[in-house]
Amino acid sequence: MTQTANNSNPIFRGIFAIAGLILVLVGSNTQIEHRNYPAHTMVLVNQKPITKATLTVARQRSNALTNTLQQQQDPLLMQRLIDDELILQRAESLGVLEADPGIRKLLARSTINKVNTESQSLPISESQLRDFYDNHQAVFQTPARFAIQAARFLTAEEAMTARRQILAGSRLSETVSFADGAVLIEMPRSLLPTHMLRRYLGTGLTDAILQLDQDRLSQPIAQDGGLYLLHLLKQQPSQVIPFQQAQSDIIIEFRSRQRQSALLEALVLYKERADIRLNSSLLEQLARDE
Amino acid sequence: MTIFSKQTAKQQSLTLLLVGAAVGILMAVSGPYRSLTHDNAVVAWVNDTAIGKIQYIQALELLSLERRSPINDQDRSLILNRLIEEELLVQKAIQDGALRNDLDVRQRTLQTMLDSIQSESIARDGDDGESSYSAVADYIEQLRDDAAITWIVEPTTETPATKQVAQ
Repeated sequence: MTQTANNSNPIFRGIFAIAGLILVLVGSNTQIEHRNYPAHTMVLVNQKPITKATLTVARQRSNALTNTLQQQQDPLLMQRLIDDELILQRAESLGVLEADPGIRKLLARSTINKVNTESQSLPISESQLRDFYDNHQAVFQTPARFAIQAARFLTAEEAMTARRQILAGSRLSETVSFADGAVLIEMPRSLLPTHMLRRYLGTGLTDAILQLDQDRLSQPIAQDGGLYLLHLLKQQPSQVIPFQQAQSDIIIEFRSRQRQSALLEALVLYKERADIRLNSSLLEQLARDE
Repeated sequence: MTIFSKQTAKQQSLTLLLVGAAVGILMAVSGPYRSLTHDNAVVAWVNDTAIGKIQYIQALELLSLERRSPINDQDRSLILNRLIEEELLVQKAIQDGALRNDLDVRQRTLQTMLDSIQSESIARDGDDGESSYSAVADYIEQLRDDAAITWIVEPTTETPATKQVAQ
């Protein structure tokens, strides 16, 4: 039995080899027709479909004004679409998509837009908006505003003298005129939000204003080689906008955060699915070389 | 040759066959071997696409121009992460067919290719409108010749939608 098996091995091997060769020869000359192109496909260009929907978009974008013209133009449009498809395929094979910075930006933007569109298509319920409003009260309030006068003095004595005069009823602008080198900081007298105060006075002085009560005058504050007096003339506290009044703003803010969140989630998902490998030794070397 | 020696030979050939098959499977599964740690031009690979050292350094330099303080480890990590995220977004767009579905991407790619063909023609034959137009036409003709174009529905005979509009 063993003898028979040994003798038949070369025969079987020969048969399998010939069968394999026939398969290779037949396969190389056979054009396999995959009928897996989408419905309404009009033409396959190197197996890539151009559909009726693509032609419709091209029609809309063409300068055709009448229906008759549209029909006459269809063969021309199809030829144009085929040529475009050939160029796109060439661009793919050359790696233009990955290499061209402008196209890369548009591709990245395309994915972001898609994620945004998907997230924006989700409906928002009243309770979601209400929860969002309750948890983000700081976003839906008018900011606190302050009317301020500020002056800069050269010495502590002058600043203290001016302070006493203001407490006795003088105005800060009057006291400045009596002190050598003292200047009134130029800024609007109207009520200003905190970010505007920072623009005129900087962070340090603005923080000092936030500690003051209305009609209060600060102690001289040393900053940038001078001494500052800050007089809080009027203060309007921040106010929460009622839910009904703020509803359109709530929807805009909710959608905005939903978009950001959707993009972050999408990126996390892409990273999880991706094969990402870092060249740690090169990264460390580059960090050292800087 | 005795039956015993034949069996030994068979066992040896079977062992060799199994070892060969195992090596083949391993090679097929592992793909082309690439030593990341010895590649001094690539800082990371994202699904087999390289993020180059030059690209990374340029991004760091751009950030340092915006910053007054020197770049730290956190900045470096942020930049690398951004480059990886950009690559993932690009790959996702390509995978989703943005080249054909997104009009901006499609037009920009076509324009880039046509500009490239015309630039080559100008570099070769000088700035002549006629010859650069001809270069594009020749290029497209060449692409058509090499392509397999299969009509499923001829544009003149198709489209209930067109017929409907025409009525």
